[in-house]
Amino acid sequence: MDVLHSLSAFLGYLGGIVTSPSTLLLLFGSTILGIVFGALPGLTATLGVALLTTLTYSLDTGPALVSLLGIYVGAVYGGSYGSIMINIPGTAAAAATALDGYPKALRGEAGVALGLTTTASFLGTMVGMFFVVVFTPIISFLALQFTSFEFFLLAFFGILISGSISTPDLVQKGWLAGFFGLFLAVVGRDPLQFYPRFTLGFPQLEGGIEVVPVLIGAFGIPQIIQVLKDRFVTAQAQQVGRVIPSWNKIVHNIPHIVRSALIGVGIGAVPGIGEDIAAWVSYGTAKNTSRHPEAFGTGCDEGIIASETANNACIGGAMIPLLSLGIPGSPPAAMLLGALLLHGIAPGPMLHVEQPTFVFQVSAILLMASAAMYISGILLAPQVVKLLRVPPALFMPIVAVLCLIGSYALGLKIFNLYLMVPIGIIAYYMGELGYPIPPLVIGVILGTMADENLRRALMVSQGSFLPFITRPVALLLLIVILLTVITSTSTFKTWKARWQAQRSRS
Amino acid sequence: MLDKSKLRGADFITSIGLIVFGIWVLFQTFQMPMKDTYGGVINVWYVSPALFPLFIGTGIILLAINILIHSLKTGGLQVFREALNSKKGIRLSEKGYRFLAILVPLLSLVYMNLPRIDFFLSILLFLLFFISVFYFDDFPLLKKLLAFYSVEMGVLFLLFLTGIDTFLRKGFRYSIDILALGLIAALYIFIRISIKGQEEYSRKLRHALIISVLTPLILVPVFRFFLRVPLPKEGGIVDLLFILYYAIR
Repeated sequence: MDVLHSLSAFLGYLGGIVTSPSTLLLLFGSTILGIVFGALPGLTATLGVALLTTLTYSLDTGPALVSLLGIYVGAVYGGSYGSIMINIPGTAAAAATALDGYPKALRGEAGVALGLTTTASFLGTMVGMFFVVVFTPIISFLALQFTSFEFFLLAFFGILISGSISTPDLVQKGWLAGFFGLFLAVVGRDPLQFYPRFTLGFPQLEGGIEVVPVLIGAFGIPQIIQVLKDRFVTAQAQQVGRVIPSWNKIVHNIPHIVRSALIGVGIGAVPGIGEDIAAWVSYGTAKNTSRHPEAFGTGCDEGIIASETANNACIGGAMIPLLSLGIPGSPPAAMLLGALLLHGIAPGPMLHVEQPTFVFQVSAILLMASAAMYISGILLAPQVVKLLRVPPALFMPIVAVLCLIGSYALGLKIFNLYLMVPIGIIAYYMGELGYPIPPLVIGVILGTMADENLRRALMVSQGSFLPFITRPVALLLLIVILLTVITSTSTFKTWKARWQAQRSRS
Repeated sequence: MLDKSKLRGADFITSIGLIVFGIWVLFQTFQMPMKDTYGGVINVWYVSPALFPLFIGTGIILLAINILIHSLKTGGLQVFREALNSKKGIRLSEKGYRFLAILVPLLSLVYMNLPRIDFFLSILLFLLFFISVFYFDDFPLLKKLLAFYSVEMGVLFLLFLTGIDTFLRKGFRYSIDILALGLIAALYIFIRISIKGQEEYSRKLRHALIISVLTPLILVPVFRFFLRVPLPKEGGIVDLLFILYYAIR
């Protein structure tokens, strides 16, 4: 297809959405539902897409896609509401947003923080959409160059960086939380030889531990316990200032937005790596490249922008391997893959041959969904701030119920609840002892991928570790991992402090 | 998070616990097929299901040793010893009671009520206690309500443990739901008596009751009828809502 045909197809789909009141209603309805799903802890983007999939059986492919992408975009953005307002990330993707969003809300700038996340998410989704249309072949090609060696290292890097960034105490505690997450991920029958690992004789554990109950338990339960046990004030109900961030602020942060969006798209394009890793890597990069890294974690704009732009840009990135290879780039994209198959669409290399305009349809919906998300977000933000006025004693028990039903609804397994509660209690004690929770969750998400790819890689190399240093991308990742570990050691920190002291003396 | 001095003491014991956990992971791992034949497949070490757990177990042990060394260097052992000595004649603090007031309803809901009692009633019973007990923000009242709720849960526990519930259900399908309704009424009456004459508490109880009823009243139709999610246990009230839903449709 030439550029003109592509553009006319894209504009045709766009016009079709804009001129159809019922489609617009469906778009706004599903996006707002997505925001609510994302904002409420326990109801994730994955769950939202999964639950809505059952409701879209009877719809045509177009409206079904509109509602599914609407809820996906809305939910990834909506996760920031919980992070900013009550310090419970609605989704794992918004966990990094809580680091700066919540302190900002405590300063009485919840409206500003929400305005920033709304704009950043909107721009992130737009950039993601742009990449879906224009750079799909290039990014797909780059992602195709990754082999099991790189996938293993990438998963390991994700856990390490999240552990390094999110730890409130020793860096080793962050990494240990990640390793505990990896342990939870290997529970169940091993995917290559079907051997039961750490199932303790429970048949329910043979299928492995599902991510959603771990996520809900690890993020939701500790916050509920902390708030109610310690009479904790989640955030002060302040007057909402200007919700739309000033253009000066946006222009000032354009380099952050562009860099974060690129990180989001790049990470999203790598199969299996979702919005959470994109947000953490983007946050970490923003912190490491900032002139004021000490401001991160205290409510700085760059931190919020970095994570929110990246996680929404990741949606577009995740669509690239989904549409071109039939491999989902993130857990919600995996749900979307199931929904597309239900509608008789088989994503993969043949999609371009069978339905050459499908990519443009998806891109047009993404564009409209991001616009719906922006409008709804700006209009809803002041209402969400009102949640702060509700006493935690009234709000938290309802959150507990939502956590329970959210955890149960995805797999329809009561056993998920049996796992969620102890994981939540363990996570609470981990938090009290200075072990961060995000690496644990990321470990659970990426554990299977790391396990499978490590073994596949070694199968390919017949047990040789040499490709880890002979493959350029693998070598690069290995160097970054080693640097992350070395720069976090106390020996390195002591040496750096001495060196700095010597430098200042001279 | 604990303050730094207490944290180092806690690090001492938790790191030992984590080392033990890591050893257990390795112990379990070494029982997995390494180079042996499993399911007719001749293994090589690099495709063994033990490979990644070996990596995890080793990682946990090494990191835990690192934390233990740091704790010892920063006086963790001494803090731990002091904490042990000061814990003689331990009594549950207010925070401890508040923690129990979270755990008791949560654990009883998940492990006992949700799989056995109508979803609507389970949530109503849970919320009525959970909201009231923290919304009043009154420690003596919290202790009183917690004791009453624990007795109620104890009654249910005995009922389920002895299998009397199965016998009752054979007589009348909704008998356990009626019992749950009775427990909700008893809890409400007990709270009313406990807060008698206190206008502010009466207002709070009204709020708690409204939210406790409204939450399942919204959630059940949304999940059961809109999202088509079968609820963990559909008893009398959910069935009633079904009748109403189809009557309206």
